[in-house]
Amino acid sequence: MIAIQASDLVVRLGARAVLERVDASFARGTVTALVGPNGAGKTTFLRTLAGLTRASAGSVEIEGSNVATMTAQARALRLAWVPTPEPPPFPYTVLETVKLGRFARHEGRPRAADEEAALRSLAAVGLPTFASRLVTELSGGELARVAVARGLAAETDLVLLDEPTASLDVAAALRLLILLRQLAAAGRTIVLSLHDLSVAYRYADHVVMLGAGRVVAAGPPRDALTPASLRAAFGVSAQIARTADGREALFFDPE
Amino acid sequence: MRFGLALLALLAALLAALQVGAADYGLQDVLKDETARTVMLEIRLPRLIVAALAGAALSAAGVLSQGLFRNPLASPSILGTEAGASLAAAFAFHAGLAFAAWWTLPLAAFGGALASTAVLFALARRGERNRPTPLATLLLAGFALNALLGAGTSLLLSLLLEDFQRSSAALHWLLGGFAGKGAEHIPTIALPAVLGFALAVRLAPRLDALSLGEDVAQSLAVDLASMRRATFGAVALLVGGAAAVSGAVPFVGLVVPHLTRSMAGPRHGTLLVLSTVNGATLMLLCDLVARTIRSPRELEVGVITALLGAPFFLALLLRKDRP
Repeated sequence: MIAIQASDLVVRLGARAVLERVDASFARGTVTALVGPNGAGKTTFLRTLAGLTRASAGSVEIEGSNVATMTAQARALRLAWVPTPEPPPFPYTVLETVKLGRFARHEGRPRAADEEAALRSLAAVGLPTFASRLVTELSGGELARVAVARGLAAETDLVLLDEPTASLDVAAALRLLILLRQLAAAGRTIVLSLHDLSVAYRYADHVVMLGAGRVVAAGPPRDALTPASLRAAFGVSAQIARTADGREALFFDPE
Repeated sequence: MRFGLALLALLAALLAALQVGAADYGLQDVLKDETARTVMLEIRLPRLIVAALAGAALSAAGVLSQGLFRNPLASPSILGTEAGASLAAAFAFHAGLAFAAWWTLPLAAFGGALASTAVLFALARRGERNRPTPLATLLLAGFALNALLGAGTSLLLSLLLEDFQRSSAALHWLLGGFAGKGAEHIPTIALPAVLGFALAVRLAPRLDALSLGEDVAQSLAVDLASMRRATFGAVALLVGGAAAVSGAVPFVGLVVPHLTRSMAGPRHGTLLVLSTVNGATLMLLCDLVARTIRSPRELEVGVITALLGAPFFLALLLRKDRP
């Protein structure tokens, strides 16, 4: 079942076409990695899926409803948006911040259910003891995990994340991907942009590769992340090697 | 608890301020002396109410500015909001409108504050749609706007100098402070302050959501455009009303929300209410100092708030720069 679908999507920012006739669909209960070189349009694509950037042509539909014509409230109850975090301006506690992820439900008056959901998401991202810490005193990696917890606390079917692993160390990044896989197994639909292609290869159910605003490859990781597609999109020479325990991994060399 | 403490401090400041004045009467004389009663209730108290309302309004405006710009250093005097109100008010004196009715001056100040806030917001956000306004951009844009608006005010005043009556009224107003302010000034400041505060209370939860970033707030169903308009309107009401009565009183809108945040936390609802109370307290105390430090002459209260606020601002800047 398709959870969210982009059809013939064109996005122009100023005179520049950032996305050109992008078609992509995301199945319910899967993790999709959005990959592509810098400037390929990944963030714009995610923002357009989230209804934050208006498409110049084409459409985004969540289970048949057009994102552009949904009310903001309806959209907020269907999808959560987790951009790369920015330094917080004010010293809210971690719990307050995560509870704000449910703003569309409580409109500033959080109830017990909101607090419980926030605490659950904090535990899920591995920060169960951080509730009363101040967000202004967190490291970049902790802040990134708080942002993910905030997105999860909304308890939406769809979660869109822009480079959630960018400031995480390798262990935290792997834990986050495992968590996202568990959420997908429980029926949520996850779309995240990633720079680490090896991680995408190993943890995503589905990969959409963008190059210069177009989809250049899409499918299961083995079909989408091929030496040919990687060379075309990134200009690198890629090899797939098999480890002793039978797993496959990607290796890159400059061309 | 925190609210009780803040109210207690306000009450103490009010009593202290009532005790001191040009006439040699204190609170102890009220019961036994008719003149003392008149001095207290008809001269000192109305002036103190005006001062308290101005402090409350400027502090509430500070909370809103900081929330909107997502920057704890934003405030009406730094962003040029007060300067905008002053320029429009100077124009009202220049054109003679200020003498037409009691509401013309606050209306002009409101318009000036609204326009300058909107202009600054547009300047500060150029090309930075999804990021918080960098501090440098914000401060430089505020600096430029303050300079421009201040020059406009000076120009209008120098054009006024030939008309003795108007220019002395304008100068008196422009110097700021609460000297000679009485019961007739209360509606001028109270009406916009109450409206602005009511609007601000409704905006507070959305300012919390906005602290997560414009993008995230929008994804949480916050209508950014309407919220921004309402915030501009509330800031303009609060600053316009205060400026119409007391002229520009710098730094109150910066210092009070900042100090209050350390006792109340960052949530805008609590912060707004407590800053309003603390703002009234601080203004009463500054006014008390202004009245007593060179007694029997008065200093302008703006001098005191600047002496207090400017070093505070510098300290904040230095702390922010530290890695």
